Amino acid sequence: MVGYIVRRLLAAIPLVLGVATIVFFVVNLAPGDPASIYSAPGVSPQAVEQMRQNMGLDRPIHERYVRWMGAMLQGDFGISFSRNQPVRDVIAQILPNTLILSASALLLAFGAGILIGVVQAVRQNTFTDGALSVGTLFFYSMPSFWLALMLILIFSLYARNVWGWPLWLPASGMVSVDHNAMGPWEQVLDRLRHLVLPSASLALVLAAGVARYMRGSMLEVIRQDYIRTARAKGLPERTVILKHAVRNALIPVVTLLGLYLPVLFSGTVVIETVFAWPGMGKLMVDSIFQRDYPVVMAGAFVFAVMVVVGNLVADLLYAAVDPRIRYE
Amino acid sequence: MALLEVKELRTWFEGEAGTVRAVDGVSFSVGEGEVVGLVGGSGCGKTVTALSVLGLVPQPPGRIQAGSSIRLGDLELVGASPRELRAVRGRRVGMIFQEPMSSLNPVYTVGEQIGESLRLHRGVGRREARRLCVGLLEEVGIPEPERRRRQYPHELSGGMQQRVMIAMALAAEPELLIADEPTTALDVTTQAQILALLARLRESRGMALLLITHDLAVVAETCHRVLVMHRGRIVEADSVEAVFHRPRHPHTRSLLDSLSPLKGETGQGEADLEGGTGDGTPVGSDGSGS
Amino acid sequence: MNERRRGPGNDKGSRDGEWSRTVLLPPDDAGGAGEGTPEGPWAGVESPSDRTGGQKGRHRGGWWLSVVVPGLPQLLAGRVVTGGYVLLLWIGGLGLGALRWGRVLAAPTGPLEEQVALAGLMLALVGLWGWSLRDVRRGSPDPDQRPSQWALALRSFRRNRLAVCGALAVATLSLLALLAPLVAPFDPTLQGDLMTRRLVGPSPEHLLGTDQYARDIFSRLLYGARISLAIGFLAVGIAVSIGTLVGSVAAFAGGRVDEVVMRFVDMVIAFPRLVLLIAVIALFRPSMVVIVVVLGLTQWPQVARIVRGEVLSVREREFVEAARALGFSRTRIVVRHILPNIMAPVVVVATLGIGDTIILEAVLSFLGLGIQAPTPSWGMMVAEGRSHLLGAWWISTFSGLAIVATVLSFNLAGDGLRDALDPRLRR
Repeated sequence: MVGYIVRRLLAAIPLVLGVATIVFFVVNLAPGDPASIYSAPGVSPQAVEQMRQNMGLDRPIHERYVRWMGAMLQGDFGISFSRNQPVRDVIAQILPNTLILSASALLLAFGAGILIGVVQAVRQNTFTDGALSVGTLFFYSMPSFWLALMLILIFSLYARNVWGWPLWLPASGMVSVDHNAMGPWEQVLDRLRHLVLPSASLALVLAAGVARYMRGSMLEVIRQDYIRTARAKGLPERTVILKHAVRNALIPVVTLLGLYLPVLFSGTVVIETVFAWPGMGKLMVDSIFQRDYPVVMAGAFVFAVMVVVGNLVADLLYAAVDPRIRYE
Repeated sequence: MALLEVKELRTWFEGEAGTVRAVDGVSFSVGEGEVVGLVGGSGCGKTVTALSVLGLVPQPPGRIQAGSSIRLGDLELVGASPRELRAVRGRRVGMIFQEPMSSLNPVYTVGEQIGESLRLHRGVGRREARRLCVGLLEEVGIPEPERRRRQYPHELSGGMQQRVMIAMALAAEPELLIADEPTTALDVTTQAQILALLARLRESRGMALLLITHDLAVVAETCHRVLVMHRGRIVEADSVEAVFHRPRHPHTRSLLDSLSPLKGETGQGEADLEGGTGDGTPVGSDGSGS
Repeated sequence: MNERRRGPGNDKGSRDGEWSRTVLLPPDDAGGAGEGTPEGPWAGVESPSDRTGGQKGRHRGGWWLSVVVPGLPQLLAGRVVTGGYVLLLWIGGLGLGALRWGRVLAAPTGPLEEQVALAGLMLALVGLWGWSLRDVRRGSPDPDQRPSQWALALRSFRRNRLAVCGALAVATLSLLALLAPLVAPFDPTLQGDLMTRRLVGPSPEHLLGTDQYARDIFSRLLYGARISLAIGFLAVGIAVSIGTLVGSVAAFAGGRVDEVVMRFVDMVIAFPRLVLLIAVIALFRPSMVVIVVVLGLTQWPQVARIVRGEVLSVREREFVEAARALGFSRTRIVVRHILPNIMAPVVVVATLGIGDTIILEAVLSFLGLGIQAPTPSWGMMVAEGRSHLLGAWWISTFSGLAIVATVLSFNLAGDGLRDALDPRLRR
């Protein structure tokens, strides 16, 4: 088991390095000069040139590549141009925020998606099934940023300003302005309230995909002989579905987890921007616009690592749900 | 008095291409402790008949037509509520299927699946279920039951899996066991062992057995009476002797004809295994098992 | 039309897997050509109707009706979706011509896009008219005739109501995008009177309201459709071309080449696509060309993976063996026997991919990385409405709904295609 994990991680090294290399060349070959952010009226060209040297931008690209790769392998991602802070510290500070958001969205997406898929399969070809099918396809076809805006419109803006609901949800940031003045329980509640809309916007679109897949998987499983056996045993229908069918139908859905991770992270980029959520996605977008190369390259590297680790987790989960799979 | 009394059973399937009358007016009965063989070619409605008894026909598209009657003792099963049906399934009527591999849930251990039946029908706790489960596995002839109990279906051989299915069906000590082609998916040697096991268990537990098969050789060895099905109807019903020696319906004759070249072969295999004569001895007379 | 010269051989059209070639035309029937069938290119097409005398009654007398009102005979014959759709388009097209008569007259001397729109309108009307006439005279296809694979797929697709609606919606949207200069009530970039016309809600004059510069949302959405659809089709075109090429090369080359290519493909698929897109487009400055190329270049790996799998499985089938045994050249086998057989999954992936691409384009322009203002694009319109969400909800809401409706149409059509074409892809 441990051996398998180690081998999987070793096999992923080329992938991570490949991604890092592609991003390095994309970023470094693109037109535009990061040092230009220092050029303003009143700053002498010599000073800007000095900054270019400080950033190492005066060297040829292959030399920069080798130096950057070497430093990165030692865990040194350089210094952020725009924040004047080691990139490692910036990312260490911000990564947990993204993990909270992605993990909650993932849980919500798979929870809701699996539930809907099961209901649809059990009620196959009824009105409920049809309505849910159209509903999930509708959400599936939705850009998450628009869903986010609509949720903000309803649950934040209208709920607060027009309808005056006491339970309106905040539309930006991770905590309220007066977070530090709150008691410990209020602080937890405050964080949760801020988490609802961003993770729902991320999750609903994914949940639609999971539901479509789960429905198909359940329909496949329900036709199997062992479901007939379970019924022949005299088990109540609820047990047949929840215990015997769902567990088997989950097996292919687990592989979906690995496939959805890149999609999920793509989603966080937009959603974090919309909700001003201080996470990796927003950091990436901001850094790209500020031409903060070290952060962009390190961020790409971190995303690649997260996908690899996520896929490994998906594989291990796969073995956990399907006893026929054993990793040596 | 008959344990199971089926009258005018009609199970039809509505499809895009029209209605398929899979079972079309079938009547028969199974007495207490009796072994009845239900024979017929593939697609003749044997399995649908068996599934109808337990109310397991998927509906839609299947439908048991009005006027059909299936009585178990004095309980009418056609039109019974789901709750009444559940009380019959597994508890009073056990069932085993053709493909043991696909009939066992791949994600639960053998012990969990047998224990589920025990806890459901005998109302025992987890620990007691575990103990009874080991006993059942032993009874169906599985060596090292304590170890096997913790294994998953894919870790067992086909014959072993079918034994597990039998143990599961026996968990609630049913009055009737319906075996739907229990040996078709197994190799010849295992077939003989499973048949012998069924015969022995029937004898020791005194339950009735409805054995569904397309193989007349199996019937000849195991059954008291035979029902021959053809195109959704029973075309011949009599004692094994009578059907084999004086077949009246042409379909029965053709079934018998197709059997003859194979009969010797099958008989041979069992003869070697059981050290007996291997000809059509009715059930119970020998049950050496494995 | 050359196809029909292949003669009776068409009857066995599905041999050699060349089913795509015999899709549209029924097998030539020597007996059918004799009895009063019109001469000319349609002769082969018309022949089945002669054999199905009973079916002809369906549209009896519909010919004259069809000259005046295409779609009505089909509607009367009970083909609600087809007839209704054709009728709607016909009335809509004529109505458009009548309502915007001034613009239609001015179009031939106007800018290129208006000329194109006018030509599109004419073509659509003539096409509808011709189709309906032909449909009425042909009657329904002969039920006894052995259908080709594509005909079977078409039949199963037609039975799927949602899928048909999706396909028709895609057709309508494309037509609307093409005709935007004629349909749109206002110039999409024209800023109205900022005092009185700014942020006006939906009203008869401005169907979907106006934005912060007093521009008509409905007109902007129509023009935005051009951007979204054009980018969707072009980018997916690029992705499909490269993906098919790379995928089949990998499958045929095998060995080291295959491994390296597929490793690369895995890598691109595993990386969050949006991050790459934003990085590249932000750094190279957004323009139509950059956006299309980058969207295409980040999508081909998915196509390549599917094509490779298909080629590997098709290559082993009997008809390819047979072609090889007959001594056909490698190129001929690939082009004539293998590629037509992998088209079904590629068509499905392409249709669903257009939906994805439209969403990604919207995301990019939402972030300010799409087509630049003042050219309207849907994602940018959603972004513009963001600062007026509370006061003018219609800007973001309707722009987003346009995206959802378009993507939904492509997804419905794509799902239907998948079910109709390839049961193996079903999930």
